[in-house]
Amino acid sequence: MNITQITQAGTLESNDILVTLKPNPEGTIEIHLQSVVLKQFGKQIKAIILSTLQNHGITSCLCECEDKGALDHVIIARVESAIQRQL
Amino acid sequence: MNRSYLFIPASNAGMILSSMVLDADAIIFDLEDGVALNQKISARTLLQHSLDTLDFLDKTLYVRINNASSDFFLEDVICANHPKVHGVVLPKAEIKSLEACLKVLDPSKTILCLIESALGVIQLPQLCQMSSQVKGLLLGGEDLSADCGVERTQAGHEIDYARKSLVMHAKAFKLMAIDTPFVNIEDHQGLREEVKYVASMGYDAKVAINPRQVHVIHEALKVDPLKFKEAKMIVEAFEKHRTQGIGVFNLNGKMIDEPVYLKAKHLIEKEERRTP
Repeated sequence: MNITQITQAGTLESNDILVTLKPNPEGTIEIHLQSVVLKQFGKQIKAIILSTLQNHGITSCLCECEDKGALDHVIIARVESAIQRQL
Repeated sequence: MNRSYLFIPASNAGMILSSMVLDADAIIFDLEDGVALNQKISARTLLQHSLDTLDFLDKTLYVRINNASSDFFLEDVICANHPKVHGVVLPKAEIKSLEACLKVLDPSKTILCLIESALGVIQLPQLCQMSSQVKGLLLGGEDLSADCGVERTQAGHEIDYARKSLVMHAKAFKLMAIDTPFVNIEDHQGLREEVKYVASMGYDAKVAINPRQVHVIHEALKVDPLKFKEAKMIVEAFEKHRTQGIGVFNLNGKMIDEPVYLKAKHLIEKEERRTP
């Protein structure tokens, strides 16, 4: 499944993450992450985002995320909501 | 017995997380009025993942689902069927909405009927008897006054009839009576007075819309230690007299009979159930 429109989910409040999905002309999954804990957990957060996208059959998108200290389950929920809004 | 029910908007990740450590006896995750229309599905997704992941320890968890006539109702109930959830708060509880809820809600789950329409008030006798899943009645003063087209005041005379009717029905059918939220969050004295007022009518608990209200509610619901001590003396003395075949006697100048004994016993039981 390709992302065909811009959708967003989440907030910029503490313990949350704002996820924006955009079409990617390159045809790949590209993740851009800003986080208050980028140095400590950046790799882990990106891995969660990627696996959530892949679990939902996404093969191409530009995923921009602004993280405010979201726990794993919040990241998954917000990515899923952004995907759901594509439908 | 729960003394406080704290509303937490299910769209707020931080508040869901912090609800694990707040003092409220019960948490109501709100999918209804506390969530903007365009965030409803996203909030439910967040709540589902939070329930799957977080440990809420001994908290009693409820979900306020959306109205039975809304597009969100069915999926909300499915979300509330989660093993960690104790039950649902059914908004605009009326015969039709309760029937719809009973069709899809897991039979092990509890229903708290949120009475917030004039029709809901006059249908109280039926609502109380429709299912053993109905365990409590909760007054929604804001929506009720809107439904009646009247201004909501702190004095609350506009919801007086509903408040009294609700508690009387709760007592008649052995249900929990839970009072409407006190919306002036900064006015702790006003909240304290209102809790004492509704407790004197027989209400068991109050809804909180801010974590800072919880402690005030718990304090205001505490039984006076002197009254508790007196109740213990009455129960002890009555049970002793009863074994001797005496049903009425004098204790420190006060006549003690069966109704006084039952009232004292009820006070002790209520306080002991309330003590965490």
